[in-house]
Amino acid sequence: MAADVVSVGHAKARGKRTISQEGVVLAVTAVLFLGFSIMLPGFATYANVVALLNSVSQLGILALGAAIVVIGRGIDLSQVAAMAAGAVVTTVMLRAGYPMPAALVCGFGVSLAIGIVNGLIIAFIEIPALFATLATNILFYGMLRGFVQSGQAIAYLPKDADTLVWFGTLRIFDLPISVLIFLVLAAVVHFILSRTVLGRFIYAHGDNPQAARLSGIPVRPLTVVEYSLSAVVAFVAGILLLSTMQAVDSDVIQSALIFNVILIVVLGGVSLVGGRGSVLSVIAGTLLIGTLLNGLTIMNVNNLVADIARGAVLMAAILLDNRLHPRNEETSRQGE
Amino acid sequence: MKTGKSMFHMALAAGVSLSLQAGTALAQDAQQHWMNEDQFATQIADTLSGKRVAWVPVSMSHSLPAEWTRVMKEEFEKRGVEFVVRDPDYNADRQSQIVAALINEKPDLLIVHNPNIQLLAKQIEQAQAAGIPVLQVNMGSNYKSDAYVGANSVEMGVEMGKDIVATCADAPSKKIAVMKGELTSAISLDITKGIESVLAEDTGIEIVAEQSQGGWDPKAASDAAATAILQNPDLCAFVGYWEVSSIGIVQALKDAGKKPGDIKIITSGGGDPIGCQYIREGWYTSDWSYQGTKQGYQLVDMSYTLLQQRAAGVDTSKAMVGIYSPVIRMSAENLTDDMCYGDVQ
Repeated sequence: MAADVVSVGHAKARGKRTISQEGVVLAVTAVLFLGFSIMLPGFATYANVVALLNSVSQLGILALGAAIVVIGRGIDLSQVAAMAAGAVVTTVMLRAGYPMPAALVCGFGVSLAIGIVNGLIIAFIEIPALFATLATNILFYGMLRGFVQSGQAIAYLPKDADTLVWFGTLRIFDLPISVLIFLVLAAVVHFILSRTVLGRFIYAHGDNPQAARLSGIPVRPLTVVEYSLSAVVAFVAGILLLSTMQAVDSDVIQSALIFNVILIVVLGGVSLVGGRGSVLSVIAGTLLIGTLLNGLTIMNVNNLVADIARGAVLMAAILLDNRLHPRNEETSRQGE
Repeated sequence: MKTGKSMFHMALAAGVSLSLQAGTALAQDAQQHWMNEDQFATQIADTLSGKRVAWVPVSMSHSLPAEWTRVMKEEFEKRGVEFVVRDPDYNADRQSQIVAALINEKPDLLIVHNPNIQLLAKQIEQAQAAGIPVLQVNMGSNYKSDAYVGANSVEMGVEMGKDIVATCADAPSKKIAVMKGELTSAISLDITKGIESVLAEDTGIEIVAEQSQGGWDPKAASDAAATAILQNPDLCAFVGYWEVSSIGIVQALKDAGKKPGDIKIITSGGGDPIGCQYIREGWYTSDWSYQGTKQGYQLVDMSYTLLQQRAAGVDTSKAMVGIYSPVIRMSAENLTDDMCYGDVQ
């Protein structure tokens, strides 16, 4: 299998500097998909592929936001807090009888505020992103549970919130709404990253923050924008979760969800050292995790085996990243 | 007749001499046992008032521990019992630290909710050695303390197993999918044990999927259920281990265009409002409930018993008493408003 992967990767990247990680991941996904199709009856059906995409699209959406931050050489561990906060605030407002638009605007405002606060702390107080977002994640979780939910964790959508429920079950071209939103957001983020000045700036920021600053890029405000985008994308994921589950559990903030998001981001080739990777990386990572989890579900393995598989895949991705982008001997930084 | 009379005298004499011997010891006790209702009420009030009860749930974030706490707080306040709640919020380290701190503080009673059978076992032993009575709730530990109040989840699993057999008895297919939740929690292990003991006999039931990915997360349950439906369109029933995460199964059924009752759902819980709502809407065929509100009162009763016995110098740690909460099968046929606590939050 390894030989296949490398040769496919070579074929894709021939003439380029290196084999691209997305290429490798897509190839592994294809091999896995083929293997499952042969081994597992009912895997390679249209309905199952749609179910597969549906199950990972929430993760994929979050990963799109996380990728923006990671490309800018940051990390947002409080992204799931932004997701849950937006959804919980929206739900609580709806339960209190506010109209849908007002509730959504408030939820959006809270998510955005979380992004801005993170950005400000990291850009202006210059706390490393890892510590800053680790701390704010706990802070926002506590505030959400304590002040908004008065101690409870699960917020149920009120029964009369028909619009959101309708939205959650919506299918267009026989595709669930989650998948469509993932695709639309992927297109939007791809456009921002590859076709706009903002996108170029984000790559420059991640590639070399000092150089970016010296060449006149407003690095501090840019950082705030990056974290805000991550939070806004998280809000969309939260509303989607709310409309499909009709409930949101703020304990999700303390779950392993954020690590699964980062897993997808890193897996596809968005390097944690910044400046590298694209929306295609996120799509590749999402497809691989989706295929893997769906296959494992059909095979009826328990969560411990699934954890082993996920951990092994992440480890393999990091090793691959290390191999494709070896450390610079002078700066001992990876991939320069 | 004469012999009978002398026998009676001898017995009487023996009785008198015995009671004379024990008399001095019992005199005080006897005096204490004779009292009118007012005195009795005063004695109970005096014993309980000012006592300090500490309660460490696994997490207050869910409705079941919150409901127990509500009932205990309300009742303890009436009796002037000081009630301390410390919430580790699913953090095992923090729970251990909280219990350690409480052992130092020496409350008059410690109530703990075990996340698994091992974590607090050693500390419960330490608390007892320090003279603190320990009451365990719903999820037991390997170390048995003064008292346990909670569901007998193996027995409940057996009932759920019988329910599965009955529910799918007339169904065209006898396929079921089991959503186990967190694989390492005591309740998940116990329910599985109970269900398996029933299905081990030749019931014709076929388990086509067993899922535990994502623990108690409804989203994970929904994804796994969606796959199970696709793989087995003729599924008879889903078995969920918790009424709250089973909402994910409902969403998967809705997504697949199913109507309530097309595929049955058998689940369990403490009477969360969402359970009652989904029974009313027809999604949950049955919800096996250990009745959270009643459990709250059982906890209060057991606490009062332990506190009063300790106050009288009884070493309650010797007895290891257990009270199993009554489990009921909630379904559309018997559902009443008081089966779930309050409205959906």
